[in-house]
Amino acid sequence: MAFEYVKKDTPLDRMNPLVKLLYMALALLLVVQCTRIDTISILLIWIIIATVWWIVGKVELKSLGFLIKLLSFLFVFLFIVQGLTYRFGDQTIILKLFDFPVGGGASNYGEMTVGGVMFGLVIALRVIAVVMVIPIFTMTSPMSKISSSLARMRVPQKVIFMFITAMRFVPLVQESMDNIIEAQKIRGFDLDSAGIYQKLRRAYIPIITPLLLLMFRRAMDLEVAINARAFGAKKDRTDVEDISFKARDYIGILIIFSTFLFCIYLLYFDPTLITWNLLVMLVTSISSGIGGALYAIGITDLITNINSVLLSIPLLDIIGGFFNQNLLTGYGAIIAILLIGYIIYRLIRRRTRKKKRVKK
Amino acid sequence: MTENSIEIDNLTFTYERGPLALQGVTLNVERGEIVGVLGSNGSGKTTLCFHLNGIIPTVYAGTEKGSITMCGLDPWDTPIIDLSQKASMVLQDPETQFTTTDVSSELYFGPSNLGVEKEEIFRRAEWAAGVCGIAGLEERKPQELSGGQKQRVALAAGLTMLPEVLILDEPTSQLDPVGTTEVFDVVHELANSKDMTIVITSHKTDEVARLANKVLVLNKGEMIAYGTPKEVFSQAELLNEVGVNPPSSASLAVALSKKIPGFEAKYARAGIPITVDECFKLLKQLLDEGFIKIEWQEPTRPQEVKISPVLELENVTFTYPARIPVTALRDVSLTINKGEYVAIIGQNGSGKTTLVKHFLGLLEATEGIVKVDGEDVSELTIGSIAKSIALILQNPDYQLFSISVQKELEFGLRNLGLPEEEISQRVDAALNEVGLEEVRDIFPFRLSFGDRRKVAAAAGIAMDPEILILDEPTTAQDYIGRHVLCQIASRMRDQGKTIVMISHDMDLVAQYADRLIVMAEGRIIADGPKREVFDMKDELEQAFLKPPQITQLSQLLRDYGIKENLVTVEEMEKCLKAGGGR
Repeated sequence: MAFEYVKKDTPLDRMNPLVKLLYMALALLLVVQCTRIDTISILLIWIIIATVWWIVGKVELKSLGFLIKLLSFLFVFLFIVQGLTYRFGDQTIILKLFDFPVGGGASNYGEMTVGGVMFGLVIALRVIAVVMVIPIFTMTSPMSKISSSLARMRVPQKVIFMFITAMRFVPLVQESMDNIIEAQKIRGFDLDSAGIYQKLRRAYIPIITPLLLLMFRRAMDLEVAINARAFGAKKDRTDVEDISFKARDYIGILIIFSTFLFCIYLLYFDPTLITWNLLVMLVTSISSGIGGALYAIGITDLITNINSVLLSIPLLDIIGGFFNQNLLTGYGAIIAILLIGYIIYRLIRRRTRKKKRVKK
Repeated sequence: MTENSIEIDNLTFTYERGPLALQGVTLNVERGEIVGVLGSNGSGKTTLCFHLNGIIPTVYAGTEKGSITMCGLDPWDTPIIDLSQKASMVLQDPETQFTTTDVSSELYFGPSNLGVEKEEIFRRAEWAAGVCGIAGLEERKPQELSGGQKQRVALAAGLTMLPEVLILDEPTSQLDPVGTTEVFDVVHELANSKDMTIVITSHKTDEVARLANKVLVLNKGEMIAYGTPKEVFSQAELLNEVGVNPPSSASLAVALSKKIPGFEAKYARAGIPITVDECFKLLKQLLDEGFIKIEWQEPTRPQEVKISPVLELENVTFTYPARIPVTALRDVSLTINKGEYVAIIGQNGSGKTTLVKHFLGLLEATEGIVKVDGEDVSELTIGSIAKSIALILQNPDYQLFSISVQKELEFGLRNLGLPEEEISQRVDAALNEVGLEEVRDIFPFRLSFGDRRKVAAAAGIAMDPEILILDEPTTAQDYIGRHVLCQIASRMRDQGKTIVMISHDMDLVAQYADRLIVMAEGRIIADGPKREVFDMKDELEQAFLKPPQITQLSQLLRDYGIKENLVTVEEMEKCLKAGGGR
């Protein structure tokens, strides 16, 4: 599993989980206040500092990749929807997809604006800023320590136990699911070759049904198991873990609070646009660089030609001038071609994948 | 003065909306005694255990008559949290009782709840881990442990509570023979040194006979017998009727006393022999006296099989990709011929199940070639392999999902794309084979575990496979249940099918299989006809296995004219005749 605790013996490992919980709370508090596009710099600072925590805690970067992959659909969705609908900030149009005038032609939701995409980016960064802090908590704190510190905070035993059980059930569900899929496969049930529609409509029933029944039974057994072991017998459970605050915990709190206060300072008192400007410079140089390079090797011409060819196809024109942008000529075509290329690549890969024979 | 830890008087219990589970049970258990509870599935063993620590009536409701007193407390008047401080229970399924996320906190969980001092908790955890043989695994997560290891952790977690009464519900169901013996020795040691009262349910009568002070036999909620092991096991025929398998030594003694007049009187004073040693001493004495003699009878030979390989492994190595990669198979080569009845035996985690999964294409060999019917498995779809191989899993709950038993059986056949007529024909035949015709319209989850397992087996048989693989037919199955599965397999073998069985129940393997393959640490360390394999002492020891009681006995009697390893009570009984002497 991706977010489980693995003993690594780093300073973060030994740190009190409460400190890390505080970190999570502050991350949330900060993010709630970063709503404007120009707060992007503050979010970036926060994320960079969180990365330092990752490095100190030896949290695998792989799990960050996993997180991003998990959220990538959300991000793409955010970019597109915000790009099309957000009508503040830089109104430069990147791409005109179709015509969808609203407000009596005041704005066109078929046009993707720079400001909109930027706002999508801010939202994505807000999500990342919070999500990045979670593995720092879950992957460096053993469950026993978490429960001890929660008990210290006077969280009721039952609530803590619910929390632990949830963590215990995640791998259990995963394991049962694998076993069930295997069991159905050997009965000739071929999930891999079923189409998506078929999968949704029919194929998951033989897998979800046993899983649910199994989990209900497990939950019942668990009740027996905790009762058999005197859960709740004494008001004060013995805490096995030592969770008193040590020097490193105070240092941790100091670092977290100073980072947080610094970000708040930037946010409310001196909204310097240093990182903002840097970012704008970076984006401009990259795009002009690529543009120049493309022009130099004649791709821009090619794309313009492709564009006009595509535009001359009557049907495409009707859809709403898909390839008809005034700015950044032909970049829509680039994206479209890349997309088409990718789809073709996937199709070819699927065809050439090791084909299994059917036994006579 | 000894006091009674448990006093049960005329206890009758009916589950809410459920069957009558216990009927007129009366027993007294003294402090420091070990009580073995025997009985088939559904005989009320677990219900009795639940009574002892207050799970009934707190978790499961029902109506009760009679009285029960645990260490001076009445479960119906005492809150479960008070009761659970006196009595601790280890459940059947080691998987579900893991309440925390790693082994050490699992061991701390119980005593923490009791508010035991911290230093004492650490001491107990260290002691329990040592005693149960799980030292060094403290930081493992449950999913990184094998079934046997989980069971040991569950036992250790029960021990750390240092209860007055320890209730063990099938604590060794997933352990290999040597592991089972170890656990029973631990239990024995605890009862002696800590004066703990122990109630243990088990299907492993050999071990119960060896160590229990008292044995209770239940059948459909009623007490069939209660007394010392010798008293109880002398009623071997009665026990067989209610689905309890007495130790082979006892069965042999009973069979011989029926055949040879006066035999019973010979052991009447010392009690019926229940261990190999006792039985050997008795037989040796009687043979020396000339009261009995041995006439060698050839055991029936398995039919010769022609060499026509259906399953082949060539130098297969397999490594599980994980945080810590585990090599489960190391350079394994094996050929199984058509019509063979093969048993793969070995310790937990020796690679038995991994090996079998290769045949089905569920796992792909890291190195080497796997062939089914001469075709390379890596080139076949799993769906098409399923036509020729059926695997009957340990846990039927992983596969049952349909609204009725009949639909359940049809599922696999529809996956094969057979015509309707043939489907209904095959379903009927398979239901007939396992004897479940009456329940064909019932929702499988409402059946007992044993019957669910039969449904899963029927679903496998209906596929009409050339090769049938049984994965551990003993798990959570009583004596009758495991034999039913093996007998089905035997009948299929007579029709020319190939059977592969994975098990660590030596009695079962000895009785049904013809060829044994012994695995240890991912390697095949012995392979041959069963009677020869049981003579390979070193290899068996390496695989943590022990030959069955009768085989051990026949090895001891080698000097008296038993020429070969015998595997069943009947074979041994045939060889022993009344002697002409005094």
